[in-house]
Amino acid sequence: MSEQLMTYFSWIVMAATVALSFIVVVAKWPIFGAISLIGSLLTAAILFVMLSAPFTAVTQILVYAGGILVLFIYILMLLGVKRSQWSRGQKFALFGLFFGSLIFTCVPLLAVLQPNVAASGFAAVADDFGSIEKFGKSLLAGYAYPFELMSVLLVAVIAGVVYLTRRDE
Amino acid sequence: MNLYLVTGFVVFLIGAVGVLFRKDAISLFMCVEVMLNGINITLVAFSRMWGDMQGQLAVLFVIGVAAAEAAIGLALMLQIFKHKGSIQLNELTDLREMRD
Repeated sequence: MSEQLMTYFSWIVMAATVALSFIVVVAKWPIFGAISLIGSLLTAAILFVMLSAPFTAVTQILVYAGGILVLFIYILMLLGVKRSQWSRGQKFALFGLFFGSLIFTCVPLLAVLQPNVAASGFAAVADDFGSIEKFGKSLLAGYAYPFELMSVLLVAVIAGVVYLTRRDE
Repeated sequence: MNLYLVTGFVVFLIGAVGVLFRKDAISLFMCVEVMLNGINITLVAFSRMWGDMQGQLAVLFVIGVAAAEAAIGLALMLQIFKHKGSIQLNELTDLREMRD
């Protein structure tokens, strides 16, 4: 019974993620797009929790929704972007491209792979899969080098941003 | 096929179509973030399907690189706005060759 409820809940959250991402693309005012992108990231974080990845979910909320998207909203506030207007031909092309590509990729895939829609295909994992201890051990065991390179990248980005936004005196 | 993978794919597709159709640079950049969101969903779904932690580690790096790219991209957009007064893609034509 609770398994069924979780399945229906996951369907609702997936539909919310897709709908919010769609609003990002078609919104007239970019600020609506930014806010619905934050909502889409939050629903994606719910999906991560359901996929046994709690640390990834929290990282996404803290860094992505809480850092990057807030930066976007600051810049939108500073730049004052105009509303976007879609002409009728553009709306037609947008929907046509979207649904056409969906049909042309999903139908052959479903025909060739013939998936078993009932089974979810999940491997059996330990209870602490995706927990912060396991995450930390896996990260520093095999991926210490990219981890350190990431810190170098972030320092380079800070230097770049400070240079790009200097005043020309 | 797992419904989580389909969700990730559809979100990526929405972002890709948005990148092609948006006319101002900031909304374009937000559609790139939508694409990265779809990729993250796919990575975590595969990580759960195969019981492998590497998918989630990849998501950590994707989020880190997205943060770096967003910072530099938005700083660039501020500079473009300061110099040209607009970030509509139609009006950023400095590199376009002169047509006869």
